[in-house]
Amino acid sequence: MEIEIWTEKYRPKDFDEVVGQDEIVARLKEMTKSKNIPHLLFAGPPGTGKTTLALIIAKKLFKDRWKENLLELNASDERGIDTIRTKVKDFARTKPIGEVPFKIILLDEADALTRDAQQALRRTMENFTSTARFILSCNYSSKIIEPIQSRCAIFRFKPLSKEAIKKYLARIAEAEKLKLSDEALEALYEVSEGDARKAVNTLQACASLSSKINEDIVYEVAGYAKPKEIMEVLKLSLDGKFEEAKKNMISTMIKYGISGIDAIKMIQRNVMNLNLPDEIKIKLLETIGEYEFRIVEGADEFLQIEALLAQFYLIGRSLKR
Amino acid sequence: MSFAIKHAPKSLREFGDQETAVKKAVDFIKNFKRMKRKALLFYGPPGTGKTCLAKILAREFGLELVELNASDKRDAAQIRRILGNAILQRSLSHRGKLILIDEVDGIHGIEDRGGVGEIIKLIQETPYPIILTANNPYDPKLRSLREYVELVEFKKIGKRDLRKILLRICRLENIEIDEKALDLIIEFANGDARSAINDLELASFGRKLIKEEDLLLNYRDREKNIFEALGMIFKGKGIRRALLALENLDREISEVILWIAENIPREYEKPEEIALAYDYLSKADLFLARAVRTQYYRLEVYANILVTAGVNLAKKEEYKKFTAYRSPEKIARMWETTQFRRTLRSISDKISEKCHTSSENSYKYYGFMLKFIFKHNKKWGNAIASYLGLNDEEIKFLSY
Repeated sequence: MEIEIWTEKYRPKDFDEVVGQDEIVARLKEMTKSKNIPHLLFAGPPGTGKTTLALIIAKKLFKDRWKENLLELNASDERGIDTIRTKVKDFARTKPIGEVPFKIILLDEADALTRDAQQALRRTMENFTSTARFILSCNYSSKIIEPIQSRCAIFRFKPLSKEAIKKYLARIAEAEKLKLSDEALEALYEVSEGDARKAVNTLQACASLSSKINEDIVYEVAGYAKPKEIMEVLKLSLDGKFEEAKKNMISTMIKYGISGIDAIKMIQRNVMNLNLPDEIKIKLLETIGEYEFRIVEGADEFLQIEALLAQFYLIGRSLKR
Repeated sequence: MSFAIKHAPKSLREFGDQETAVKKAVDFIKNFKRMKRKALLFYGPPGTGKTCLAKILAREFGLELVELNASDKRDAAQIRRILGNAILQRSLSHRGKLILIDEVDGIHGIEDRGGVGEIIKLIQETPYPIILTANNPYDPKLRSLREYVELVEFKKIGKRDLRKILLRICRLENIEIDEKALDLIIEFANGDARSAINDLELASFGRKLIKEEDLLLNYRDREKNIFEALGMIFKGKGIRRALLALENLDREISEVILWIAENIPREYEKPEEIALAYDYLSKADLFLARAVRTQYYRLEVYANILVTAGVNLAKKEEYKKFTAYRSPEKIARMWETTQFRRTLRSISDKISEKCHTSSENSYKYYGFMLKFIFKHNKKWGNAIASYLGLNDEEIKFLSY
């Protein structure tokens, strides 16, 4: 049995394989047929098909030479707008291979660029319009400056419906010879929140345990994505068991491979569900923000999280008085 | 002549402390002929009287002192040349001899090749008593030597004795010293009489009255260990002593931070104290990060201050208890943060390459799935590892 990452193995390769986003798919299909596309802006939450459709467009336009005609860039990873510009320039300088008169530049997470960087990007887009089309993707289109928005055809992606997720998972289950109970399928959708990548990753993790998948397994895997230990650690600190809390926090971070930033995000989300007076919650959230900032500034993540737990410990004690 | 030499005790009567050691040594010289082992190894921290006692013994028993110390080259040939002759030649005055080999733990492994072996030979042949000194008798270099010598321990000089010694010198030198300054010298000396006397001498230059502020810069350059540093930081109130905790310490400040974090809840008992001490540590750590990022390393000064004085001041009262300090949790040390972060980063890069996601977000999307599989299904884990091209470090991270 060949194992790889299922999100790649089962990534739709044609418009007809895409689940959900029906209108968007229909429009893009027409555009692609005409072999002429404008600059595109895909906006929407993760796991809703933005990258998948961009790849399909490239495959359909360039057939087996799609790789040479597509430049994939990621705004959050590239070191600033200058490297992006250099890469775009190098790529767009040469003529496209084949009958389509332009190449495609896919810029993922474009909303990670600052406004200044986006201005620079706008000029780059204009300079290379004759030889390249941009497909920008982002979570929120409001974070993209208007001059760029106005140069693009905008498509808004929505979280996938229950039907779409189920259909997609059922297809994979069949190919992988998995037995999925209805409850498990239901649970997978719940956990995924309409994010197909998350649904597939959860399914693959479940399948590593057993080919018969029930809802318990699904929730067990989900615990890895949102460890409930974090909540327990917070309760321990508030309860005055600081040393235990500190130890559990470190082992939780290591067990799940949670970075300091991710851990602090989880803490922040959990605070709202704690049984505390609202004024205390606000105070804690302010403190959490301060420690998140310290980590972002490059401080040691374990130490910062421990120090944050000490603050929980302090507040817990003051509440008891 | 320095105070330490000028006022060194000249007789056993003046040599007050270290009763057990004195008794053992006198017994050894008196009954040398009947001794099974022909050498003593005086060991203990610096400034506790090891060399001094050897010299007094020579004087009191009328022995000629033959000395070989660390400034001499001490390979086998050299030791034989200097001491071998001493052993073979009868003393001119028909006096006996006492052979002193100072600081044997300072014998250099390579440069002084064969040094320790040669000393063992001398011990087996000698008609005269031999005294060796060392700070650490359990130094691996001395392992073979240990069965040929009798160990004699020298303890740190107690505070009361140090006080006596210092006051005696003050009297003889016509110096006045205020009580606080005296305490401070004794505190810093940490059982080392020589350094206490040197501190006194340094502070006395051009003064007849020594006050507290005359001392501050004069404390000794002695290597501290981490436990002493922790004691200086946690114990006592008042930041002056705490501020010196990191000086001459053989650890990086980032490591000291880990040690302090581990021991805050052991030392401090009130949540306010623990939270405040942690907050200072956290800010110190932030300054370190900024120093690295801006390449402006002066910022480390502030980290240093927060780690020492800040943590010291976080307590509301002094804890007189004895605290057994522990080394930082194994689990945290296993994943030194930089290592943790680096591995997380490299895994993210590899996922990003295969899965059309940013490195920034790829672990968020795929991490839980990979962790789960690596934990529960080795076979799949291995297959995925080869698909992503993961190295051993990354596999270990995911399987942990």
